[in-house]
Amino acid sequence: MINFEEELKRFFPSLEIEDSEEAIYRQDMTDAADLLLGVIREDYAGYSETPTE
Amino acid sequence: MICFRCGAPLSESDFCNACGVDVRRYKKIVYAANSCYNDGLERACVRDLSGAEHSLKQCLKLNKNHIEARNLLGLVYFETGETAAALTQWVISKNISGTNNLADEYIDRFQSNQSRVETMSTTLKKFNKGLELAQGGSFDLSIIQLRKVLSMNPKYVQAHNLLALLYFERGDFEKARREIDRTLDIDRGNITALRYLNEVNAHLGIPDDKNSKGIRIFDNPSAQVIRSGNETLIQPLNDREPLGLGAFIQIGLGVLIGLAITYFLVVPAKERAAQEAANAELYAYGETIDEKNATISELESRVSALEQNNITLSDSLAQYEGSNGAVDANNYLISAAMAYIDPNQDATQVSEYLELIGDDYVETSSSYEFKELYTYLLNDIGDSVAQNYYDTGLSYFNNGDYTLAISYLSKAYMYNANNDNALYYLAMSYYESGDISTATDKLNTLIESFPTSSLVDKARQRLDEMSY
Repeated sequence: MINFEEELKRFFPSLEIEDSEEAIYRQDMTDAADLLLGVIREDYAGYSETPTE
Repeated sequence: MICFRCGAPLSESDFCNACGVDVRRYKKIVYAANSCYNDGLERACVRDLSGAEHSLKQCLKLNKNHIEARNLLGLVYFETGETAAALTQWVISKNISGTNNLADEYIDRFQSNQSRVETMSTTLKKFNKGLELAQGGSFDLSIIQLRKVLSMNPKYVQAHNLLALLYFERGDFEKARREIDRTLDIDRGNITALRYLNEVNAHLGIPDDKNSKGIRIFDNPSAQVIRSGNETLIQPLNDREPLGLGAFIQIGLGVLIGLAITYFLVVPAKERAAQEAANAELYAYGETIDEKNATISELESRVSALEQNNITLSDSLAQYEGSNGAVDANNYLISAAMAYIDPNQDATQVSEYLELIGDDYVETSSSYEFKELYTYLLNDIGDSVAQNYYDTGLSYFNNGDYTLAISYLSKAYMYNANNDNALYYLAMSYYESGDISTATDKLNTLIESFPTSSLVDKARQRLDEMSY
């Protein structure tokens, strides 16, 4: 059974064209590769960052 | 594939040849992202746009630099009416990679038509306004606003869904069903629309299984509804067409209606057209007649002028000719003069020529010189010819030939106006021939001209006799 009020809450205002610039700047561009890189950097924090020969 | 750390191209090895970082997990992430992109692309091809959006977002969460996934995501947003979100993805894509990027083309195409940009912007604003009205409880105004939005952008999925929800809340299940169908035409995997569809079908008594050919007879027993996928067939029951007399009556009514339409609409129009044509022709004839009349009037004027000119010329000619003709009169006078001076001719010859000249010409049209010569000749030969004429006329009078008597006695009096006897017998000749008025005139002339004449008493006596 559809609950009108609950369903209505699921609708969100659409992004307007004037707001798209701000939306671009606010975009979270972190992906899995960034996370992986962060993990690797943490792992290497106690080690030298230059590759061993 | 490039190394996430140093950017060097990666080989099949699990380590980067440049910086030596372990790339095994990175490669798995990239492969997973590609897999999500492929899934998103498959879903987009079958119009499962909601599913495609989900898969593509997953792809971008794994690999933000996946240009194809970002471009495709923008297309999916654009197709579902989220224009600003589409532009956002394309701009980000263009910033990640500016060369050979389809996002460039999408942005240029969109911005090339400024009116479309305005329309899209207005659509988004109106939807937001409609949503605000619905959340505020103004359902009717929200419905109006959403209809406007969908008239500007029929592919706006969110607007269809919201409108379906509002119709559902109002109890217009058929209208809600229509909006849901439109949503599913655009986005077959739209979860919201599918949920609404189940609810609406339940209210309409339609089975959930879209593939079934379930039959539902509505409250109206004259029809049955067959649903097959997204198609709805409504077949009337007991719809046998009327046969026999009813059919003929209906055909007859149709013929009568057609005749009535023809009589009241077509025939007057044709009559009016024919009348106008006839009037135009009549007008043309009228103009022609007017032209002819004008020509006739002009010709009549010219004829009248010519006739007048003819009269004038005839009068001028008559002036020259006289009653006997001016040329002849001159010739006669000359002949009389020649006869006068010719010793071999006598006065009789002269008088004959002079008699050919009319008295009216001598009196009215002759010149002074003509009249002088005429009078001279007449006076000179008058006495001798007058006596001859008198004797001859008297002879005819005594013999009872009054016509000749009148002729000769007239000449006798003409040549000798002092001859009262000639005048008396001339009057008697007229009297005897029955011309009483002329006889009376002559007798009166005698009395006036010759008051001492011995014939005056006889003349008065004759006048008294004539008066009775």
